[in-house]
Amino acid sequence: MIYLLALSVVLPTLAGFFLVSLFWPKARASARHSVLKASLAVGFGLGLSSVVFFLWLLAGRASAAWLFVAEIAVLAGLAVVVLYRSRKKEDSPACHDLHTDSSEPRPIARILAAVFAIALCSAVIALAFVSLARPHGVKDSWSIWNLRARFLFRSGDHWQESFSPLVMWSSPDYPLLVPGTIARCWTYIGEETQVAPATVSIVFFAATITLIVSALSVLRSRGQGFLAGLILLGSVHFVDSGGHQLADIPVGFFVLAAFVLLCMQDRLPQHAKRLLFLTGMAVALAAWTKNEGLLFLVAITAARVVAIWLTKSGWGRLRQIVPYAAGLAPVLVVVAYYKAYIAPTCTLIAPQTLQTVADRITNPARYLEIAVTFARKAFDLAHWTVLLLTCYGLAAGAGKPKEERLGITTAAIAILFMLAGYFAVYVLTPYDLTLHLRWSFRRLLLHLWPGIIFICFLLLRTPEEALVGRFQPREAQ
Amino acid sequence: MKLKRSTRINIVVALFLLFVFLMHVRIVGKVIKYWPNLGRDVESYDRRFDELKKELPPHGIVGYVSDNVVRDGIHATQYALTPLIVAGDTERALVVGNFHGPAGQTELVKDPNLVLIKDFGNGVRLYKREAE
Repeated sequence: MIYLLALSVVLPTLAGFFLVSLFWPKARASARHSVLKASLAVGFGLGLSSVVFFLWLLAGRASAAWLFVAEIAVLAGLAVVVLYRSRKKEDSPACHDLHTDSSEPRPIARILAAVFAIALCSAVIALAFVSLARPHGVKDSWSIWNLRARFLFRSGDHWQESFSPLVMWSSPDYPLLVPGTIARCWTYIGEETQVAPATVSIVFFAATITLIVSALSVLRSRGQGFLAGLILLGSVHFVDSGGHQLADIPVGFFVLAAFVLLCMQDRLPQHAKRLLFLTGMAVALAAWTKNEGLLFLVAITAARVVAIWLTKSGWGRLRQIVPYAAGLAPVLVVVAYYKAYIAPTCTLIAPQTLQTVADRITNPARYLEIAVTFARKAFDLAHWTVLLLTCYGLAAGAGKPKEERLGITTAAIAILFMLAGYFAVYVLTPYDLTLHLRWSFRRLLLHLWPGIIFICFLLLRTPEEALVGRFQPREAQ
Repeated sequence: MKLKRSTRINIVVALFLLFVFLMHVRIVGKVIKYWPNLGRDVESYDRRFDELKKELPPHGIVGYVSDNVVRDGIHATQYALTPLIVAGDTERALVVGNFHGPAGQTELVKDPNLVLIKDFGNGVRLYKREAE
């Protein structure tokens, strides 16, 4: 059983690695790039395999062997293309020299790496214990995500019955990345086991951590990457949620991936199209994970336009929409089909009338309650981190992220748009506002939390730079 | 006293490490808190309904009656009986009874057209709706 479960995770991760490699700027072998690609590969691979699983269901769910054969064929196809491409001489010097630290790690980076490794192991062991204590996860995981996975796995040809309005309380309009991934693992194994949702949950958690560390190692320095990883591993609510088998950590992963890829393409304009294609794919996978991912799609697309205007980057940059849309399209078509033909109307929209909407919009008490809760929950989540980052900022100083100015501005505006979107949803919610805020807002913050930490560390000087006392010149680009 | 930049950086990095250590102590504390109740209520639901599942059709909709005022009861029943759909009413051909205390069982099922088919024990019952 454990081998089949491992196969069901490793196979799509390998396919994800080849997919990311296909669009990644070619560079000499570099551990930082490899870890970054592998981290992205986990999310892309599992996400796309859940899309393949959904298509397999739509096609009448032939035998599990066909699903396996289809995935092996995709993997082999991608491997052949990547190998063929690797034979071409196309080395890009800019790609492996983005970071500001030397190839030889400084003592401080070594210490941070050691502490980071211990903290990551400790977190993963803690999550394994959480999974043993709560094999079915928390209330929302078994009553929404694992329930849908059971429907997809157990129902045979009747799988669409799970979207019946009789189970409306289970949010049947939510997209299928998480339940599809779990049901796909069970299909591989041939039986249900709670190890599968726990594994998916922990894998996304670990991939988010390694993504932020490797991305900052590539764009800044090893020390900066490990510091960001340590901050994320020190966020109790983030770590705790890693074992809850919910979809919030995966959404956070794709939000972070989109920010990382946008900043990468700012630094590597000659490879912008490829990286924007991957950005589009990350955004679409966020939309395939949770309804909040659809909000992220709107937020980041609008944020890019506003950021281009604010930073005076030239309207010619709007042409970026083409590769970005090309990356969005494949998964977004599936999301659109799912929303149009399978999922019922979102429970937040369905029961509303114009009169009730008007009453809620014109009630100032709702705005006050939402604002107070936003502030309180954000303080609960971030007060230690903000204090620590302020100390670090004062000691190390601000960096000069001129090259990623557009990417950072886009991410910052997207975060603001997301918060504004969440605010609007709470103003209009048909549920009891106090309860709705209590049960959901802290989780919504997790979607943005890794991305916020990533942006903060892009704005600060690295420990290596600060210890030298000056900016180290980047190698020729 | 003005500290050198490198000293300041080293102090802040030490603060980072202290922060992570303290937060992990909190995380371990939270994990230990999970252990006493083990949170296995859902698993116990799965087991409670094992015998009932054998008597139910593989697909379709069943009704639900319970003395449990918390909605978790129907959610956990739905989770256990998937892929059957558990409707929160008694207007179905088959109705699942999920009782936690003996007192209310007969009072709750007042409908004369609901006939007890089988009592599986442990508060789990199956009723049939007879034509009026």
